[in-house]
Amino acid sequence: MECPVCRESMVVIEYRSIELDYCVGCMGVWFDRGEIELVLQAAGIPVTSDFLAFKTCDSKPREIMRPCPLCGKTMHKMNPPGGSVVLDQCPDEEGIWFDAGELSETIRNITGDDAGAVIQVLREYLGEALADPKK
Amino acid sequence: MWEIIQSNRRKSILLVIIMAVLLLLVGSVFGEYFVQSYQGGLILAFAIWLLLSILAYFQGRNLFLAISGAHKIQKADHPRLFNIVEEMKIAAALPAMPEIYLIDDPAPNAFAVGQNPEKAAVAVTTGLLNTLNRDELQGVIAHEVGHVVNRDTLFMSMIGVMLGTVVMLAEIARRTLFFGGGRRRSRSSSGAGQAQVIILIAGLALMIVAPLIARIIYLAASRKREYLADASAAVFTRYPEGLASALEKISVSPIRMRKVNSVTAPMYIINPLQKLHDTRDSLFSTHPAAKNRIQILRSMAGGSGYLEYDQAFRRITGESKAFLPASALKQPGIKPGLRKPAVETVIPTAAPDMTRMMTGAVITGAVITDGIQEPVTPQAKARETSDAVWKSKGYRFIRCECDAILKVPPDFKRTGVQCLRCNRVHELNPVPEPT
Repeated sequence: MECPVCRESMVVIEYRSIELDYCVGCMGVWFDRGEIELVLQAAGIPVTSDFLAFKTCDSKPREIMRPCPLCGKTMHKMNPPGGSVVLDQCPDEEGIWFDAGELSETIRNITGDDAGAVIQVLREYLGEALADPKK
Repeated sequence: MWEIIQSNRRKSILLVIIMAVLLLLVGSVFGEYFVQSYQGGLILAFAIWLLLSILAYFQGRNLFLAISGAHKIQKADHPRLFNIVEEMKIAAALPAMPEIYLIDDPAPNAFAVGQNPEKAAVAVTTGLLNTLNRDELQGVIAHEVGHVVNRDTLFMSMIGVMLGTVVMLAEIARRTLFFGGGRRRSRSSSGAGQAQVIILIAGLALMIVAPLIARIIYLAASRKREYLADASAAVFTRYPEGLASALEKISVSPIRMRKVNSVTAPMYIINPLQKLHDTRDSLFSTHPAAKNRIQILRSMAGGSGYLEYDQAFRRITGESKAFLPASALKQPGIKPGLRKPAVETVIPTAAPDMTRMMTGAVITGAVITDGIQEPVTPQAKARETSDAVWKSKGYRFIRCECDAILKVPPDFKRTGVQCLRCNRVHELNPVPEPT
């Protein structure tokens, strides 16, 4: 699978039986359909968690449009709740693309009852990928 | 068993003859219009058909696997799937082990190809492996092996080529006749004018009707063969419920297949383009309604032989004619019984041990089904399947000290890989040239 940003072949990382694709060139991360849910399920967190409720961008995004690495269709720009992050989601919901740093920003803005548990689980799975880039 | 193949063959020959007559008719009319000679058209139609048939016979199998995005896998890539195919190979007395291909697609489906039982191949999607349990997977593989044993894979590709030729010639003729029709003919003597018009109209009608008839014949043959392969699957597995339950899961799956078109669709166990909730066998569907197929398998009155399938078939579809030849239904004294569902023993869940998981020694959260290890958690099952895909595509596996496993694609250009979790950089050895 090709990175939608630099067109390099992406590397697959498996941790505790969950797989993600990422690009060594730009350190962006791709979540296949249902993979975030698998991570949460494995930790016993209900899948209905609020932070998965992404909204389509209202204003015209400044980021360039990118092709879905799976189906090649142009991805939609999405906003996760409570932040200015702009994500790319496949129009057929094959998956979601996070640029480097977008994951940590998305996770910082998680609210709700499960927030603490969700953040902890994702930190466990993603490690340094969630480290604050400003540090 | 042999009688079924024989009767299948006789019926097939009849269908082929009807198809051939259609092909030659269309060819001769085509020739009359374009080169003013029936013989020329006949020769042209025959030549096109022969060329496509030769191509389909020798390259059809590989072409088909290629356009479906199937990758061949080895035994070590997915031992569980190989074990099931081996079982069915023995049950069906196939002369050789079919090659196994994996299609990376979350929609559950499967098909078989191959001009003869010695050169057969079975392809399954990753979605199928993730969705089905052992008994269901066995049912699907048995159905596909049934297609191979009954020579459906060869027959359908050959008759498919004839259909294609008829459709192609008729299409060209129709378009030309509509848009620039018969100009050359009008130059001939005016006395024959009226007869010319009648022939022209008759020819045009044939060009419209012939592809339709050819398609109906093709699809009727296709549906019969699906029922027959289901019956064979019941006989091979002695457990009709396995296939019934698999068909149910496949037909209600909301995920659509990615790489599929009207040419490849009829080959799958459930047509990926057919509507999900069809209950009647329409004249234009490639497969019988899934609902009927499931009902027949489920009402096989405690047996797993062709006789039980035939009785159930007649009960459900309301057809009075026997579906299988009488000789196949004559059974020796004992009724072929059902086997029990596969026995599962759960391995107690232990802490995840990545080394053992990687070598495939023990999968945590697995069950032993009939002595073969089978993962039960969705995560473990998804991992087993996708590792088979990675290996079939030539990925290299690197274990990082942070307990993650990095899977590096064969066309990765860099000399080092940085781990996403811990930022450690792993040096890559140069890729060995594929031999």
